[in-house]
Amino acid sequence: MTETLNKSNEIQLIHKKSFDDNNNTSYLSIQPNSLDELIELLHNAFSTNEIDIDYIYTIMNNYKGTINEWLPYIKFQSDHYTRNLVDNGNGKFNLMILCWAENQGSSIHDHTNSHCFLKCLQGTLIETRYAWPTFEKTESMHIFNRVELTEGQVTYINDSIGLHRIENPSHTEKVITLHLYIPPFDHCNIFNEHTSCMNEIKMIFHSIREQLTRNE
Amino acid sequence: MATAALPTGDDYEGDYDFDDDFDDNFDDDEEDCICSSQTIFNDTIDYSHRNISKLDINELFASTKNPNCIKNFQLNSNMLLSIPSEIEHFQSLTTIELSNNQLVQLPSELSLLKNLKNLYLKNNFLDDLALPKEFEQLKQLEVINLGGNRLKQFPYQLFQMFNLKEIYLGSNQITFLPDLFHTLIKVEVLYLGGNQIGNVPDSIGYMRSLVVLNLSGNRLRTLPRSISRLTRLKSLSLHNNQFSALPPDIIRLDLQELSLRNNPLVVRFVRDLTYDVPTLKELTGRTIKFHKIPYDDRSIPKSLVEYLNSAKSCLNPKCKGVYFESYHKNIKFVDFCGKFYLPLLQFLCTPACTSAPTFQMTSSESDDTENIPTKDMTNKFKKVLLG
Repeated sequence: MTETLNKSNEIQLIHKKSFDDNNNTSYLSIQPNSLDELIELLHNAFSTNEIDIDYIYTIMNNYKGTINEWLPYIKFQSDHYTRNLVDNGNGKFNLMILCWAENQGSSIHDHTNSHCFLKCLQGTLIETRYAWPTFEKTESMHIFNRVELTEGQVTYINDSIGLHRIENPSHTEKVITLHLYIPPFDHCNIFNEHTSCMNEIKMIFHSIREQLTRNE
Repeated sequence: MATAALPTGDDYEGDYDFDDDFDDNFDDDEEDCICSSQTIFNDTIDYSHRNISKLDINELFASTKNPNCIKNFQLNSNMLLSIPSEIEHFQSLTTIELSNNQLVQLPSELSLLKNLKNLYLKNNFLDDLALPKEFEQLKQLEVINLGGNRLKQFPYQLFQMFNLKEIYLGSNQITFLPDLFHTLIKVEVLYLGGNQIGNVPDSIGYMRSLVVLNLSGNRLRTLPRSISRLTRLKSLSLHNNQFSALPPDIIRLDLQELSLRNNPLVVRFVRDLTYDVPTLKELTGRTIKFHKIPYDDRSIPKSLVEYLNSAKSCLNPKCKGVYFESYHKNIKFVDFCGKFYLPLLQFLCTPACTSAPTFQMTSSESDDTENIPTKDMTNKFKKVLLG
């Protein structure tokens, strides 16, 4: 069920840094000024199957948007956070906006061999990173990092780094985040912090391109 | 995920300040309102995000031909320390947005606004004395947001506001909840997260309209049994507390979401707590109840009648016994949807009253999860956010 990135015609993510011939770092100043512009840059970047991870990180980081352009994807629910698909990247990536009402948080989860870029658009959130369990015995999971992400900041994670939990720590403010997954995935594993017990779950969208989905 | 049942829908307005007019439909009642053609569809005064520290009431009056046109005051995100008492002249106000200011006090004249439905006071400096006693006259108030203030008590005025639907008290310093929740029968959302609450009173069971209950980030170890009476409850947030086990009554709820992360939940059978030998009074009481021996206040003192009436039933379905003060705590693991085992706390009349061994010596080698008794519980929970 899990896909690897090494299959032919699959996307290869590489770090280009400054080792390439042109020593080209001009992309560092690319400033997507709108969501549409960011989406266009992403589509262009995905026109080949070689994706520069630093480039993606940079454009996600430099993107400055306004609440007006996120409005169609801002849908809060009082009992769980929502995932609202913005662009399905022609199957190569998924760009989505997540809405976390007061104190909502996710389970500890992995990323199904995918790459996850997470940008905080509004508010502050906490990312707690956990080591993969050994699965040899029932034990509680080990935290190896815990950071606060403020507005504009981007974090990156993939399965080789570890697992994480995302939480809105505020009891009065709502949080909005922008997520980019390369490639897209619709199921993942969640973990019990006390027992390391792992279970697969299917993930669903609350809305797809502004239209609410019918779930259950 | 069924979302229709939950009160906060997708047309979320909340914190977002729209500088444009609300496009309300023109009300027939407004024909009485002598508004200029420019303000005829504008029933909102928006002074939000202007860095003002004082509201000039004359300017307010000047901005509209008739204060009775105004239904909505957006005054959030300023530096207001107070609001003028003349606000009472805006009798049509249904919504006042005062979040993110520096309010330390509110005028009692606010209570004269008979049409006020929504009062947003989030992130100010309001303490227990800041809310005037007269507030309890706001009987038509439906939504009140007092999150992010300096309250040490649950505002008692709220218990008199019988039409309240949503109460937000997140991030205050509330340590204690009075046992007065029986009046709040219309409340659908109760947000108490981020306080220092150590106990939830029984009367919470009277809140029959409750759909969303957030108790996260407090100091709770247990919930009252009356929680099982909240038949409309769909979302229960208990994360970041001190729960080691849960009351089994939780099973009776028809929850869609339950969050339990960051609680010291018991994950193995534990050596049981010491069992206090029951008193003679307790043993006598149990015998009377078990054998259904009749009693009344002519045969025994009234205090004993009350005592006998306070008997609680043993949770073992096969046991008809009762207990008074002396009970045995048992941790029973319950399987939810085949995914997680949640420890539920049972009160039983004696340690002998379980169908399975109540405790085992824990050893690091054995996997205790295999000895979990029984799945008489069904898949009532659609989703358990245990994490």
